[in-house]
Amino acid sequence: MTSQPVRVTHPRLPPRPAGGRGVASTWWGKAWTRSLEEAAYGVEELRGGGRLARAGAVGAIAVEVGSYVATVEERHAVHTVTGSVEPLDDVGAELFVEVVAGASGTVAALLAGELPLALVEACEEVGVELVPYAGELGWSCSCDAWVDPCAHGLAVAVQVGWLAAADPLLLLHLRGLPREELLARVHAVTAPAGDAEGAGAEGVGAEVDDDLETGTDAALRAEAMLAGWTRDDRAGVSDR
Amino acid sequence: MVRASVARVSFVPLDGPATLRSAEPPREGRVVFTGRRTVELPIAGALPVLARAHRDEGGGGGGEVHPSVALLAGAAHLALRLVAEGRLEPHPTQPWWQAAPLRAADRDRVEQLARVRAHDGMDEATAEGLVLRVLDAVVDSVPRRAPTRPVLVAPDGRVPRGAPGRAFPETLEERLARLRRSRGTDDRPQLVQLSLRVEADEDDLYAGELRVVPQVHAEGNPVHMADAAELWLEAGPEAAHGFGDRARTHAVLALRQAATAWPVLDRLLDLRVPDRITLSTDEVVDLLEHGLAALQEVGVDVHWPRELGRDLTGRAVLDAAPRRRRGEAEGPVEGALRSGLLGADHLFAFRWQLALHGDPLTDDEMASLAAATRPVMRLRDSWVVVPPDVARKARRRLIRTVKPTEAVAAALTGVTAVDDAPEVEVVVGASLLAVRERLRAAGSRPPVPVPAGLDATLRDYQRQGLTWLAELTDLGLGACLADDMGLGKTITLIALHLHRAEQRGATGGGPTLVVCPASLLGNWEAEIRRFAPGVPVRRFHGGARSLAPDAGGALAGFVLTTYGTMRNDVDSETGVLRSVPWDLVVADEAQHVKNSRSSTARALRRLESAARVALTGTPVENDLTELWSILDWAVPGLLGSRLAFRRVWASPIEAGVDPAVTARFAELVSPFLLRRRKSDPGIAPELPAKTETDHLLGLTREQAVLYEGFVRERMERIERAEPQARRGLVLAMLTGLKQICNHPAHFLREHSLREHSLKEQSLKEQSLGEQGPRRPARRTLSGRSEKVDLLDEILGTVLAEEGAVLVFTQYVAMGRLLEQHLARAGVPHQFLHGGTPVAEREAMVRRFQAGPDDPDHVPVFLLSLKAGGTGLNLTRADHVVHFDRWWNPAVEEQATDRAYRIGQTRRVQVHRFVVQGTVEERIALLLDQKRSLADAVLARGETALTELSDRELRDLVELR
Repeated sequence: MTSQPVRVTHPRLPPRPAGGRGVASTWWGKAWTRSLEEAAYGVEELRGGGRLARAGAVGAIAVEVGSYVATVEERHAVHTVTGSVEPLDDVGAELFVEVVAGASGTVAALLAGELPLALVEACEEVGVELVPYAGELGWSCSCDAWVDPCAHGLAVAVQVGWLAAADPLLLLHLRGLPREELLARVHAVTAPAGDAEGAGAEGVGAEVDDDLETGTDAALRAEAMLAGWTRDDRAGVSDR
Repeated sequence: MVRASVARVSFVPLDGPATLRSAEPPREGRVVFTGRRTVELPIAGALPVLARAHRDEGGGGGGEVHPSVALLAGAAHLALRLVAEGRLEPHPTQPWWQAAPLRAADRDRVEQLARVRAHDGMDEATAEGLVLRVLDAVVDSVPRRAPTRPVLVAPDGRVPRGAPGRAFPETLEERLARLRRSRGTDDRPQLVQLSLRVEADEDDLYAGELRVVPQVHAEGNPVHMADAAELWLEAGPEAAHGFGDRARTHAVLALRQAATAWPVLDRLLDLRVPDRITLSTDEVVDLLEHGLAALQEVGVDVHWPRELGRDLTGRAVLDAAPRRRRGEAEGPVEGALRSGLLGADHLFAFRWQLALHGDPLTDDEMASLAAATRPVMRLRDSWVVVPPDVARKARRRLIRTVKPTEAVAAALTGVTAVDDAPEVEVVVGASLLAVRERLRAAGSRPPVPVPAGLDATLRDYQRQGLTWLAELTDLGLGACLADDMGLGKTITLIALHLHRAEQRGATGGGPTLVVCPASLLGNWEAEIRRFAPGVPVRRFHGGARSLAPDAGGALAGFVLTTYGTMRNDVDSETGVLRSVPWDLVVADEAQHVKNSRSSTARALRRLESAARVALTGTPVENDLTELWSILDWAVPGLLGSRLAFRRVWASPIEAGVDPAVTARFAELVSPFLLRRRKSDPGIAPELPAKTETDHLLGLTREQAVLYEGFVRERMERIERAEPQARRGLVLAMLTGLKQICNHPAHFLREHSLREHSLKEQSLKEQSLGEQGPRRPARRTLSGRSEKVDLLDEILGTVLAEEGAVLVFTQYVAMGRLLEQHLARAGVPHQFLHGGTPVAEREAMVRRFQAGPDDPDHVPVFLLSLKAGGTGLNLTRADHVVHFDRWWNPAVEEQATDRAYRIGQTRRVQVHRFVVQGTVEERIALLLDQKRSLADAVLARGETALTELSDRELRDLVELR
């Protein structure tokens, strides 16, 4: 398990037209939106936040366990928003890990950007809520609006909703289970002995990216091949 | 290992120029080394060679290294360094790797390489481009797998993974840095491939159930494998399975992909540890029917246990269908000559034949197979998997019955269409095998005896053609004889008729109908009378035509008709052709029915006969649509419907993708098509250097009316004329008659084919005697003179053969008319006459003599020259047409031969047009008979004819 906080930065999104494809089309995206609606002071504020987000005013968003940070540009003024999300408590996190480990295919589904229905049902059964409700959300912004959350905060939260709809792992990160840790804990649940630490080998939760694996393997092989290219190396072989 | 590669490598020349042949994907590029030999290596194989070149560059290893080789080596070295540093990334849109954007230092290195290694033959810019291409190729060749990035986007376009912000090369570099810092010896494989193992014990088999166990194999080393479940049960470097810690997740990803291909596997993903699932009977059936193919496509192999046989196969067998004939025992059918093995009452059938390990099943076994309800059953003391499609074949064994020609087609190609499968292999049963062998050997059988009634000697190849035709028609099939013009198709057909008649003996054969263009009727009749004396021949053509039988009963011998007449007769209610039991129907110049939808082609198909033969002089195999039309008439049902033919044969062959299709098509068609060329080795020696053919033509109605009118009018004036005037009048009349025989437009001075003057129009109408609807003056020469029509035929054939032809005419005016006619038809031509300037003459000769590949080549040369004109070299000609004649044949011959030096380098066919019943024919006869007159004509030309008496003159000119 890593001891430093894991931070993932999501880049600025380009502006997108209103009324396009339903931006929170997944059920958890919609649930997140409902929580925002409840947390917002009124419909107007939420709409204003949506407008800002669609206009591309929100900068890169840095996500950590329990919080996210981003800047918002509005009419040449730049504000910094910090949003907070109550992470799952220890029991909840463990139950969730257990649920994920319960079916071998769940990890793959999560990595593919899906939250399978079976997972959600199991979570309900054990009493774990993935999507935070309004009371678990908080904001602080460098602007001087009196409404809380202000339009900037809502803008960032809306954008987080879009990103989470595409990648539920983002939501899990906010809830206290960044990807590496989730994978490691799931792995640990089922592996009885011998853990991931061995002579400095790469952790289980590290990027499980096929292409990275292939690229790493290619780099190591290229390094081995280069040994035969150096001018001083005759290897004692005659080439007649 | 290094030693072995160096030993091999020293055969590759490094001292000559080398280059890279790029490809897509770049890893398939190839390096070509030249020098004392040329060696081409794929990029991966070229790397050791380039390594050696790079090492030896200091001049240490003997022999110079060519600058281009050094350039390639330097570029490859740079590429490897980039990969080792992790500076590569997946291509954004294509499934291959590319070098990451070059940093400044790398850019400099590229430019330096290009600058130092540029040499003559390659400037710096090109060298730089080459370096970049080498980078792409080498960078793509090192990774073991193509990148998955573009592929792993979720179906609705969402991009998974939570870190789109970090660029790939940076991530990779980071990881490599971490790895190298903590350089351990962890080389346990992380990437895995998935396969499935099927298990079953006796109880499962009796219940028709199977178990499926997922297995993992290390990427790049399939021998290192384990059951997937072990990855869950053990972890870490001590684990027995020897896989890395991320292998589990990769295994799950692979399982997920497999479950997308075959959803039954989802059950594995629902388990905590995916160790095995049990398939129900239905699921086993689904696996066999769809799952195996779907899993194959995503690269998941399925391994079956040895106790479970999978060698149950089904083949299509073609054999005779059992016939139900009253009182006849079933047995092998040999076939009488007349009805043939393939008479219409014979039916064939395609049936499924099942076999286990290649051993055919008995009827009982097939019955139990058909009754099986489970996909696994016991057969011959072992368990066997029964794929659903095999079970279906057992239940419905008969595929379909077919007519004889379709059966022959299947026997020749070895495949047939079954339900949805367009090409199923067919095993041919014994009776059809015999037919197939006869068909294939028809061309090389010992030749049949030449029929006694044939008054001629057949050349060897003609006897062979006769034998082939006889064999095919005996079998009840048709044929297409497509020899070059001049090889004697007509005489071969005449021999075939006589052969068939002789075979029937006393009862005699039926009549043969020959359908041909009008301009060839005379030719056929003349040749039949000459080569088959005593055989009745008649024309069915013209207004008063009839088919009244000869004395002695039934219609016999030859009946000649034209395409137009045939069509009119078949289409009319009072037609007689269809009611005749023809023995043979011959379609001469069959390219006239190449449009199968024309009414002529359809009419031809309605004529029934025991056998059909198509003759054509054009290379019919070049145009598949034409080939279909002709063969579909000659052998109906062989090639299927026009649409099916296009789909099954024509489109694939024209696309040229699969040579096997073309080969199969040749197998199907070649027994029915015989084509010999004049240049064929067996044929050329038998042909004389110069073949002369007299084409006997008739007059069109317009010409006949003009001719008679003119004779009547002029003879009257001649008989009344003074001696001095008489000579001129006679010459004028002879000239005019010759012009009429050429073409009415020539006579009527329709020089530019415009509407001629009203006066001539009324004269024409008067002579035509028509009150009917006024026809507009036609703008073409066609249809008004058989000479022109025949010329069109001949030119058509010559052009199709890429030959060259000379057309001689006495009259410049006729030459000009022909010019316009050919121009209108788009035929390249040129016209040389007395008025052509010398320089232009030389250019014309050059154009004529040029080969067919030369764009300036003109294959048709019109010439109007007095006999004995200047010596032109026209040796390219293989045909000569004398459109109209000089009166003196000897002079004519000398003129053509000596003056134009023909016949020395290639065979030439000379065509002489003679209109029967007119002055043209008569003069020739006269000259033959009266030698003295011939000499006189030799001396003084046509004027000698003016000294004939009135009576002799009338005799000469009157139309017969």
